[in-house]
Amino acid sequence: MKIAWLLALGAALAATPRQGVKTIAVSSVVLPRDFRTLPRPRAAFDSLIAGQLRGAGFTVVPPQVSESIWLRVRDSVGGFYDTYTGKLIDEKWEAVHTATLRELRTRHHVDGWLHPSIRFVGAPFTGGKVKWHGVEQTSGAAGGLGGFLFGTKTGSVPALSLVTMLEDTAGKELYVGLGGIELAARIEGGRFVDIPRASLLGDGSRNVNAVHLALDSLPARLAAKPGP
Amino acid sequence: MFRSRVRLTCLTFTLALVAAAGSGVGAIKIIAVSPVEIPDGLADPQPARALFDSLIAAELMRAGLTVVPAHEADVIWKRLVDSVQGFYSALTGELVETKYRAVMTGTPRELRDRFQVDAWLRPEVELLSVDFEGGKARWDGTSEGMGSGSSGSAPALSLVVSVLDAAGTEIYAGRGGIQVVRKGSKEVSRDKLFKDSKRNLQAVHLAIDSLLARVRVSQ
Repeated sequence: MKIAWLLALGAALAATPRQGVKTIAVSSVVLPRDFRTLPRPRAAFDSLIAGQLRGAGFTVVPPQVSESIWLRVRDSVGGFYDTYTGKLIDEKWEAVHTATLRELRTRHHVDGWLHPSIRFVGAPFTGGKVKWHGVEQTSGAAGGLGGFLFGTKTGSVPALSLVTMLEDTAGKELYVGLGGIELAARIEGGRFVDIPRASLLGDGSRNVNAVHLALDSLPARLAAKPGP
Repeated sequence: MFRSRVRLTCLTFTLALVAAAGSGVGAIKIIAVSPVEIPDGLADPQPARALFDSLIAAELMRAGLTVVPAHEADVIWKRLVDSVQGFYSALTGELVETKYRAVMTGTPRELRDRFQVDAWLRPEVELLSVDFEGGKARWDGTSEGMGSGSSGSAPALSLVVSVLDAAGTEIYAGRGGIQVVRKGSKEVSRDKLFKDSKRNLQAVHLAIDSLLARVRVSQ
């Protein structure tokens, strides 16, 4: 009886957005520089993220909405980069950010803005196993009997992870989620060998798993926070 | 038979040296040097910049070159950057190629007109990621111990130089590893960076010795 009650509560938490966050604007996933020209991974992740949020009971405002507001406001202030250094001017960026949040709230009734990005991370490995951000893969280094005989190697290997950050309309961070996607290099003959960029981010089941890892705990986390 | 082979080898080597002397690098007598660019994140870049500025200038002068001081190239560079109001896009932060090319070709042209320089050397300390294996990182001609039995990647610093002729064409590029900036999970303290004079000098040699060898051949 108790277990059934807990299961029902869990299901309700998963399906019902809490803490007043019902409508989420989603940005298009930001890809590492090497992948920016590839439209396929971006579209795939954008679609998976939107699907996951809708499945959890949120209303989703698509990336085109926040992007068009952002670009219009950015252009109105003449951009937020220093033309001499190429560096971000924090005050100008913050002004664009705040104005975009305000417009998302007033015109689209958005309660939160989700920023997903795919990043290169250093995934720690011991011998043949690499574990990071909820996933596990083999590194290519000697492990098991090979490791016992020739010595176990440790270190970190380049990998890709999905990072999601949700902020409220005042710009306060409400949630950060991480989901490992896949290794970006393997160890062969004691050296790192890059996996060809074109063959990364194409494994549908790994991508789905990363989105789950990065977003599954969002409804529960929002429910745990006090209301606005 | 053996003697003729030696003669042939000597002839080939001599021809190679003559070819090098005839190239843009070989013809250098007067060289302008820009201030060393230091990556962001160092608390005070000025001491490191002054250190490498002086090491590079000293090695160039020792090789018999006339060196136009760094502030001269710096003044010209800054004025040309002002004339295009910076060469980065305000909207994206990315380099605007046409503006950048205008500054990159205008600077050596003006250096040649004002100081009769044959070449312009642009040095930079670059932050890069290096692989380490068996507890040792090896990169850009140098190596450094990382702790035994480990492998992975770590951030490190290298001195990178590029030499351009008066038309703005790159005629030489060299690199020399300086030091790693993280060992395991420990960052090397900022006040310990560039304190090993042997490593600093070695980095300068690694980066410019091939240039100087080619210059000496032509003298």
